[in-house]
Amino acid sequence: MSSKIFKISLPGFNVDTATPEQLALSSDFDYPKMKEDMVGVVDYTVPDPMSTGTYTIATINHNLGYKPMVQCFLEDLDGTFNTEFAVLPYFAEIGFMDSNIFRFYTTTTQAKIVLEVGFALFSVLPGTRYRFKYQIWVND
Amino acid sequence: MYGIKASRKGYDVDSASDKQLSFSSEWPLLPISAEGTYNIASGDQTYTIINHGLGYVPVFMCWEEAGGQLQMMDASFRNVYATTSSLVFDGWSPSDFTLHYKVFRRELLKNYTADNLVTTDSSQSDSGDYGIKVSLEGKSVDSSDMRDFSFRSDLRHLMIHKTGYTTTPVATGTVTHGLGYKPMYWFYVENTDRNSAGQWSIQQETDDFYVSSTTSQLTWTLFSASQFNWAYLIFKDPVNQVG
Repeated sequence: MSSKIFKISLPGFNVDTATPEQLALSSDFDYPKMKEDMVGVVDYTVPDPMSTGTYTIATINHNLGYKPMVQCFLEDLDGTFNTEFAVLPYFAEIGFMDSNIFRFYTTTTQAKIVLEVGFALFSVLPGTRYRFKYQIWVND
Repeated sequence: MYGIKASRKGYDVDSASDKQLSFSSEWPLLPISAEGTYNIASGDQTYTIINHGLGYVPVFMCWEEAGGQLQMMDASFRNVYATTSSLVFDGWSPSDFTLHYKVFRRELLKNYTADNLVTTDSSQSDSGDYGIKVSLEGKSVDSSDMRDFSFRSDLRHLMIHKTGYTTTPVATGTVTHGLGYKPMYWFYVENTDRNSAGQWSIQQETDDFYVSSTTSQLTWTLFSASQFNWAYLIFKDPVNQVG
């Protein structure tokens, strides 16, 4: 197969002399990319009462046959934490009791948003609401 | 003024907002310069993951895999940093895991702002199956494996809206993005309490590092006696909507 290059420069740069950093697109490179149906938003209210264990917040079937790169942002809708947004995994407790964690992980077939509760007593989590924005990339 | 843009599937390219585009030559994507995996042993370890040779501190991202599950690396706990020459793991782990990394062909310490060209969303109205596909070298453009493509306009990409960094250590900062929605972001820190100057690591939210946003600004706060230099990327993609 012959080597043919497709590239587009950013504004102000000559495509014939631009460095890779000055290109908007080049077929010499791969880029993070995702299918439309592998991007989503999920709202969740932590059960009240809450107990020790794992709560599945969302399961997304991707069936890619490999573990893709993923990312997920949490939005704290009730102002429970100091941060409004967080990238998962996020330790979801105040101060020293960092034993409850929101995670977004993938296997070769599914991605899951979960809340793993290691310490339910005195937790601030029960009844609080969160929104998750997830992306499952095509890239592995 | 020349250029090219491709809308996401279902949107008319003539009326699509910036975030409804799959691509525009008006702003950059994140080209992957190097990627791979590295087995991290338990205990206190220091590994040079890769000598990237870029001559600048690059944007990078890491994931961790253990027990058949892969997730973004817990950067509140694990310490991976980039310098102008290499990507390094330096820290302690209670168990073995596989580190996945991507180093991007983009300078982390760079001030850049893309234009906000079209901020009003268009309704989905275009049912035509049009688009652009660019395969990677040696791969067929007819491939059914999405990984064989450099770019496809029927896929979404991480479009960079704004990047920046501080040169004087601070505990808090505010960036004006003007996107009209709360955007996705990545944060990095030159944490001189943990690493040396010139070593930049991913900064994750914790109970003492907060991120908040309005539709026009992004703010970060470190609730600590320490002050560091920071770098950030803001994407043309909402953090709390499908977009």
